[in-house]
Formats: sequence, structure tokens, C-alpha cells
Amino acid sequence: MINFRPVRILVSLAAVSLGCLSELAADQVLLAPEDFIRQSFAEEPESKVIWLDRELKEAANEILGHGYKGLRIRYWQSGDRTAWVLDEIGKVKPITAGFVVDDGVLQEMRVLVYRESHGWEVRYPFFTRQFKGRTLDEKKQLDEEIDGISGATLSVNALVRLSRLALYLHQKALP
Amino acid sequence: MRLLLAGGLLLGGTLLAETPSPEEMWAIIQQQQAEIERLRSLVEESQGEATAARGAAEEAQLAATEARTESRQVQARVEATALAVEEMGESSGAGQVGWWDRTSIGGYGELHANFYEDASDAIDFHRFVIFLNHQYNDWIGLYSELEVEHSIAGDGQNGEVELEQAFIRMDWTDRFSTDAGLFLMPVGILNEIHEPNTFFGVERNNIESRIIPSTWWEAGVKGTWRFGNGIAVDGAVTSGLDMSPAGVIRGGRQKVSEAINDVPAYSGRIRYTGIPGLEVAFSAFYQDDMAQSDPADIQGLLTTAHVDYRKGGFGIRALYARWDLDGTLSADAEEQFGYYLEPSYRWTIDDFFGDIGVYFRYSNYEYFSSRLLENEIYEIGLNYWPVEMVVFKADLQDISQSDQYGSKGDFAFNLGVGYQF
Repeated sequence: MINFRPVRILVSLAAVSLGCLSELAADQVLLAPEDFIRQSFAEEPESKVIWLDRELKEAANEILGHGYKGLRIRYWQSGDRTAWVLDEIGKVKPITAGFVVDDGVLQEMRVLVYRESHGWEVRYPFFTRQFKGRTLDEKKQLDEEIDGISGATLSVNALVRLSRLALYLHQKALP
Repeated sequence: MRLLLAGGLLLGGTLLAETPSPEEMWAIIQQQQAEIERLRSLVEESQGEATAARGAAEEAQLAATEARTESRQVQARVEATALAVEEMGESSGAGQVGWWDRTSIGGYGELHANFYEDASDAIDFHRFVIFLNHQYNDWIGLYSELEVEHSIAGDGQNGEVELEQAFIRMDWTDRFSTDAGLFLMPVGILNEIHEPNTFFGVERNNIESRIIPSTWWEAGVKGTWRFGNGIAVDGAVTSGLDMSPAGVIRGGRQKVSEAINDVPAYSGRIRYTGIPGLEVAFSAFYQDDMAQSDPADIQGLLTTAHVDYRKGGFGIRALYARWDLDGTLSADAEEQFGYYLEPSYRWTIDDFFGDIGVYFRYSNYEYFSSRLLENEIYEIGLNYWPVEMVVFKADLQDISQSDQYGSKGDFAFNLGVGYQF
């Protein structure tokens, strides 16, 4: 008679392993946008939208080199602090990043979803901490240069462009 | 006592003298009544006004409530319309989400013109490449790269159609992923990242062509571990080279085209990018027999190290690569190596005109091709990027001490245009 116990144990182990793996994988979303918003404010922020009128469209085009999709951009605000979740193509895939701006100063840049095959470094603090404290100058450029990542130039540039856009939108949302 | 009595009579007499007469009293009462009537009418008038004001306020409040409700309804309608328009835009106008939303296309290409002092000049559309990627779900994706080299492929033609990448990446965790399929080998700087707008020089440098046989791809499985401090480790088991006993490394690439797969190859890399702008990496490739289809046995070990650093406009690249071969082959082929040093500077002209960069490269390399070819090349050049993804290049090379270029003269001048999208 066949002893099924080892088979059952193996099947159980495989199921547990697969379960763990699927939990570990947790997809490429590094931080859910709603969690990013929650972590960015001490108190519940107000959810708002800014409509992409002609002026904003032109500015987005100038900053990104192309238009920003959609009719409006959602943001969250509490006092002079705003948070933005924006998308931009890196090499061939969109990067989703979150930005917190307080009184015109970038407080945080977080990569929330990263889909490119190279340039994973842009998600880690040793890279993202460069964005803290950046402001926008009159030419809509960051006040200091961001050092890149070898092999991830396009992703780095995409995040710099989004940072400029977030700072510009903050200025327009809080005139 | 008499005094008191006299005082009382005096006071009593005075009071009696000031008491109004009944007529006077009646007149006073009439006056007071008139005043009361006037006050009453004033109060009643005020009450009427207050009631009217209350009514007006209530009406205004009602109107405000109605306006608020209407505003909310308009806002909801605008929100719904905006959402519908955005969704239509996102679904490419087809009204539904499909596979195309998870599929991306990219590519690059480069045209080169080479001018030699003592040899025929040449012009060549060296590479036309299309990336086609597809994301099956949040953690499994396909990455592919199809290339046409030298413009035209076919019998008797110079070019080739090559599948350079086609692998499935699985992101098991945000720090560990595997690639299975056909992928670029994790060695050197240019083998994995070689879009023309990412490097200086019209042609790829010779060390990453003759020593590291870029573009070099194999089939197999690769695991990548990434750590939060900027260290990444790759380990791969793949198909390997199949070189002739003559010892020509580049000729050993099988390109995963019905490739002999008797002897696997093992490769690994450790890379540090924990400081923005800096990359330091070491890699190794080992194959127990690199002449798989020949009775001769050739053990091969490739080791490489490189630094790539950019701070502001200043950049420097330095790379060393070395093959140690052992077995039945020419003694001159046993050690093949090369290195280069490339400082550069890049600056922005302005937002409209883009960037320009200049570089100098010193290359020293020895590789085997029928005989040992020794080379020492100095070159200078510039790149002009009108936009990030488009580059124009020019360089001048001193090839007077190069066996590779032999009788082509002392100098070579190259022009190129490249793009990526």
C-alpha cells in the first residue's frame, strides 16, 4: 500500500511556500499611493483637484517635454503642505512617484511603482534623499542638480522632471 | 418741642403748596399715555421689521442650501464626465482596457560613418533595434529586443536579424528577481546598457568588443539580489561560448542559434551603486570547455572590473577585462586583456539647444585573432544631445599603434547619429 503521508507533507510545504512567495512578491507596488498619502500628513488631508487649464498644460509641456495625461491632477492638502502622485515614462514604462511639498520646498520623493528592467536603485533612500529640500527656480528647474544612477539615466531624469512638475503644481495650488 | 412743632408745620405747608391740582394731574396722565402709545407703536414696528428680516434670512438660507445642492450635483456631474473622458483616453479610445495597456515599445538606432587615412571610408546603419515588453501582472513581465544589424539581412548580405533579449522576469520580492530565457550577460558597462545616447564615441569601445564580446547574450537563468545599501549581486547559469582552438573569443559567440549546449557557463557580478553617480562592479564568467564542438579542451575565465562615476558635468569611466584560457590553444591566446580610461565633461547649452559633452579615451588591449594583436589607441571626441534621446557624435582616433586597424593609417575619424525612444 502506498504511503501518502510524505506526498501530503510535500504538497502542504509547496502550498505554504507558494503562499509565502505570493505574499512576498506583493507585486511591484513599493508603496500604495493611499499609504503614501496617509504617511505624508499628521492629520487627515483634504483631497482636491487642480484642473489642467491652458497655462498648466503649457507649463507641464515645458517641464516634461510632453503633455500630462488627463484633465486634472488630484492632490492632497493640509495647510501649506500638499502631496502629489504623478506618472512619467522612464525608459519604456511609466514610473509612479509620490511627492510632498511644504511651503514650496520638496520634503520627500518616493518611487511608489517601478516597472523598468534596470535602474532599481532609484527607489532607495541613498538616491531619493537628494530630493529633500529642493525648490524650483524661475526657469522651473531644481535649485540643485541631482546625481544620477549609472545605467538608469532615463529613470533619474523622469523623476527630476516629475519633481519639477510637483513643485510647480504646488505653487499653482497654493498661490 | 416747640421748635420741632414749628419745623413740622413749615414742612407740611411747603408740601401742600407743591401738590398738583387734579387738572394738572390729568394733563400729566394724558402726556404719559401719549408717550406710552408712541413707545408701543415703536415696539410693534420693530417687531414687524424683525419678523420680516427673519423671513428674508430664512429665504436666503433656503436659497443657499439649494445653491449648495445644485453645486454639489454639478460637481458630481463634472467629476463623472472628467472620469469618463480620462478613462476613454487611457483605453486608447476603444472603450475598454486590453493587453496593449500592459505592452510597451521602445528602441534605438545608430548610423556610423568611418573615415580612414589609408583605407576606404565607410558608412553603415549599424543597428536598428526594437524593444517589445509586456507585463503579465504586477510581478511577471516579458522583455525582448530584436535587432537588424547593418541595414539588410539575408544570403550574401552584410547584416543580420538578431534576437538579443527575450526573457521572463519574475520579481519574487522587491529585492529578488529572476530572469529566464535569453538575456544579456552581466559583464562590463556597455553589454547591458548600450543605447547610443548613453556613451561617448561613435563606435563602442574596443575593449568591450574584443575582450568582452559585446553584444553578448546567452540563454539560461539569472538571479538578482538587490540590497537597500546599493549592492546588487547577480548569478547566472547559461549556455556558453564555442570557440575554435585558434582562440578568437568574439568568434565563440553562438548567439543562442541552435547552440551547442554540452558545457554550461557560470557567471556572477557584484555591483555597488549606493552613492548617486557612482557604479563600481566586478564580474566573472567561467566555462569548463569553451571549445565545445572541438576535441580540444579550453578552460576559460573572464574577469572584469569597472568604475563609472559622474558628478555634475564631470564623468569618468574606467574598465579592465581579462581572459585566462588554459588548454589546447596557442600560447599567445592564453592571456587576452584590455583596459580603458575615459574622462569626460558634459554641460547644458540651454533648454532649447540641449547638451554637449567632450571626452578623451585611452585604450590598451591585446586580443588574439590568428595572432596576438596589440593596440594602444588615443581618442578625443564630442557628443551633442539636442534632446535627451538623440545624439550626434564625432571622434578622432590615433590608431598608429594599433594592430587591429593595421594598414588603415595613423588616424581615423568617425561621425555618427543615434537615437532612443
